[in-house]
Amino acid sequence: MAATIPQIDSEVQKQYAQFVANFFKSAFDARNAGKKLVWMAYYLPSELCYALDAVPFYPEIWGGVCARQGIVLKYLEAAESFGYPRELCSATKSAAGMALSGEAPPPDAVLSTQPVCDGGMKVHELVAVRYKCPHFFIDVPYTKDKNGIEYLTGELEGALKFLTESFGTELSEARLKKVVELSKRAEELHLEVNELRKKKPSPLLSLELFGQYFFPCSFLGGTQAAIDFYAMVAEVAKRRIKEGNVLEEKYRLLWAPLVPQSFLSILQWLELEYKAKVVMEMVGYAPKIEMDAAKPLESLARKTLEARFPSLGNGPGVLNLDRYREIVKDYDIDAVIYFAHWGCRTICSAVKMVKDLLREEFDVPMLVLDGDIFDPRNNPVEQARARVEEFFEMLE
Amino acid sequence: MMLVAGIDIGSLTAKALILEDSKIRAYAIIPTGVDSEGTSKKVMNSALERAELSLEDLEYVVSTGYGRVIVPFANKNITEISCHAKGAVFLFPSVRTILDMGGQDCKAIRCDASGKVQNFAMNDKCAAGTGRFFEIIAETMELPLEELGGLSLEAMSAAKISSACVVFAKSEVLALLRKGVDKKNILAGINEAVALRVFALLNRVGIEKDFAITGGIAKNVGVVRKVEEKVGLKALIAEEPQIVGALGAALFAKEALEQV
Amino acid sequence: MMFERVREVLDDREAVARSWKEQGKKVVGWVCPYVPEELIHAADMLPFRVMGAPVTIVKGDAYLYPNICSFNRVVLELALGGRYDFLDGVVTANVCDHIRRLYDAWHFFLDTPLKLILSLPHKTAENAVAHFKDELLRFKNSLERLSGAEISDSALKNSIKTYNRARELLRRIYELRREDEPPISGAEALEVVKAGMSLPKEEYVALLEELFENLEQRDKRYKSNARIMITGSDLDDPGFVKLIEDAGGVVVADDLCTGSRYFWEDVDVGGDTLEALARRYLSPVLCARMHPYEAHIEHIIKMAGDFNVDGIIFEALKFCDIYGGEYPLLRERLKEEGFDIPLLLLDREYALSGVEQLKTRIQAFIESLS
Repeated sequence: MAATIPQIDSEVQKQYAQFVANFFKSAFDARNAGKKLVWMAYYLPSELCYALDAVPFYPEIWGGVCARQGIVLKYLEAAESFGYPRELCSATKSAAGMALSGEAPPPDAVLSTQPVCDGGMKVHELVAVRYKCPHFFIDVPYTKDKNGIEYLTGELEGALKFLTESFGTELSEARLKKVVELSKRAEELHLEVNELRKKKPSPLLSLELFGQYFFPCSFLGGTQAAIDFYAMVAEVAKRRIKEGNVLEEKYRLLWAPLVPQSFLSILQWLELEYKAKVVMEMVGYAPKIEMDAAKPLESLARKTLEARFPSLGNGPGVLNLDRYREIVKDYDIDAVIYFAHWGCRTICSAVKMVKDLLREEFDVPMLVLDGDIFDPRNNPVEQARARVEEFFEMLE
Repeated sequence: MMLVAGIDIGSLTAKALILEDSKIRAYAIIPTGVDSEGTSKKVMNSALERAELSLEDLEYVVSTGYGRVIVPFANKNITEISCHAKGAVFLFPSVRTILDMGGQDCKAIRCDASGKVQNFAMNDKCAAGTGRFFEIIAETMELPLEELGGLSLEAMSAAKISSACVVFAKSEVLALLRKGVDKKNILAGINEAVALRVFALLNRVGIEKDFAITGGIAKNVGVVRKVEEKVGLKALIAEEPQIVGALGAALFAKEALEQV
Repeated sequence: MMFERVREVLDDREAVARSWKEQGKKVVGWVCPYVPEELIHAADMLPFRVMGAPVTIVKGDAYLYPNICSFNRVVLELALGGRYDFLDGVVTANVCDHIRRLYDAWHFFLDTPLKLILSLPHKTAENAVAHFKDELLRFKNSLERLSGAEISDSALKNSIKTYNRARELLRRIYELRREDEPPISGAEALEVVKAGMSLPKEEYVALLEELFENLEQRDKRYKSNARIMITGSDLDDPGFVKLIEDAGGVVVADDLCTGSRYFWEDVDVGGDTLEALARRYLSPVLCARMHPYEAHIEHIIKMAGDFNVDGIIFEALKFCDIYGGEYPLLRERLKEEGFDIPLLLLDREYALSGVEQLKTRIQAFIESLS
């Protein structure tokens, strides 16, 4: 029996959309709800906020939502007019533009960090200046050894102390442990979902998944909502496998490291035209993290160091390459599509290393697509489509 | 009677202007040739001829523009940034912000009441909005350069051009032409993209009124209109906007003499 | 000729390293002055700053990407072309995105015996010092494995003394630049500092002593229309400084990693030696990467005042996110208190290019100052 294509507005899609909407709505409503709002650099653990009943706002992610709605350009232009280089990452630049135009929910505090990029680090400094609000920089080390974990644990402790002092509140140790317990459960469920994705054919659709897997753990880590989401996805996947309602696949793809919203149509087209299914994304990868609610901050340090950031800015590139090796083996990947986001130094400079490694060690081909993650001025969808066609002609 | 001159060797055109006390006595504009030194002599001679003077009659000459250092008869060279500010404020004393749209670059300049530069920004290695840019657009669209501005004003709606970068803009224009989009609408789109780009440049120095546009592109009414829309100010434009730099240079020459 | 030896060193930076190798000794390259050279020196190896050269970038684009700053692409170009094959080690730190990626490529594509990247904190608090001290221990152990001999504490202390002596002399030379008409131009000062990044420090100290005496008595003085300070990204090209000085300015101060940041602060020799090194190299004024980021900005402003500068030129390598991001912060800070120090932003590539445009910008800036 031929499988039917699960609808794009499947449960997974619907719940995810609801998730994003709720997440940002809570940020825009924070002030009225009498809650403190913390601007967080993409990458930092949301658990810090949930432990204090504060609301996290990730401006770079909101920039992505604005990009999808076609309204991000004004933020990019505001930042460029202010003196930021055009070459700066558009995600980071959108955060600067938001702060400069005052159109985002105003923060009560800013938590910034470096690993994603230096551009983001510098922009968050400006954000704090613009909003005249307290700012704490969480220093993430470049090593994941005992020494590194210890240093980051101290930094997270410092961040919590900073937030409680800024807000005049106290930290409940019990609440922190509870949040970490929830976070741990979500991580376990994420791993479970990814185990299901290893099945052939893989039970979930490319488009259904994209960008969704890391979102709950990264931005809702420490909430029941994240747990419910992964549990729901696992349920859907199992049901599809049981009912045999799984889309057939000829190629198993890894999409790396990011995808611009404007390329989403390409994903669906790939699946239908070439039976090429994205069975894993660098952002969908679930790291195995040792978490123990009895050591809440150390657990969060471990989680942070096992970043879901798609190209690992927090350690030497060899770690990044190891992750590619692992995914290609575990998910039996046939080809990799790599979107080289022009604004990102880390992503772009890894292109040759990743490509060489895939060819030499696995004989897996990699297609590189150029463009910019948010910037509509550099988002050549048609060109990308043509490149994909050429690539699959070569494969077939 | 004091006779001085300013000479502006730009990338596309060379300008010379003779000042008699505070009055423009004559000026000349010629295309810049391969031999910049020869061009400088040629344009100066042309202005001198119109003024019925010879080089010896000039007491001081200031050169400006990209070729400013190769003018053999100049007493001094000063950048076109300082000269455009000086010239614009001389013509329009209330001007504080100047957009110079020249042959190979655009400059946003902020100055004080005396025409002294306080801040400036230049587009970096980007031809958007320059004479060269519009030459390429005119070639691509097979239209005479002078007609671009007027035609664009007749557009029903502006076509969407996402990049003001000359390389991308050219391919976008070609794509639009293939699709059969009206040339007028394409031109309006081009002007829109250029206006956005120079508006960002102006924002980098901060816009203060009054506002003037100098340089050859100031003759393109289509661009001027779009820039005015973005800036929200009427642009003051000299009768001959190409000679503002040479005028500023001549004014500096006059100042140099007066200081002695 | 006062700068004869300096120029000889710069004309062929690797000559010193070659003669060192001929004696059977090892050379360790470092990228970015966050690497404590003292440890390499104490291991009786030659510390050698890895720099670029005027070459066309081809492989650097292909092995990294064109959006990496041209300094790092040029360095990789040279390394892939065999220029740095003489190095027994290459050490850098987690300084900026571009250097991190240079290290990745170097690690992946090249066979230098020792390859190391240190985890360099962005902060200066005690936990950061402790973390960096652990990293320096890792560095020390790696060097010991490379040389086969232990680095004794007394050797390390001696190296620190030699380095501090060089730093002191460089600061004294910089002091001369505070004069109304300094005896040394900005381009010459950059050459002097740069020479110290490949010469053995003992020879360099002797050279600086002689140079300082000569400069004090030098008849030639640099008059100018404007006293300029330079700050920003990696800049090791005296030709760039010369552009400013040919346009009528004189560069009297800098906040550059190839200039004052290299020697502004000493290592405190009392107490635990590795900890002292960790403290010195975590100085917040060393780079705009550090937190609190305000410290570096205040340092620039203070230096501009101390050297009585008329204007600051802020040069940023294209794609440099740290300095591209610091510029608006500095500009806003200068507005805030009405310091009234004009600031010019120049984007540049590592190799001098677009000279005509640069000249126009620089000259216009100097015209606006005078």
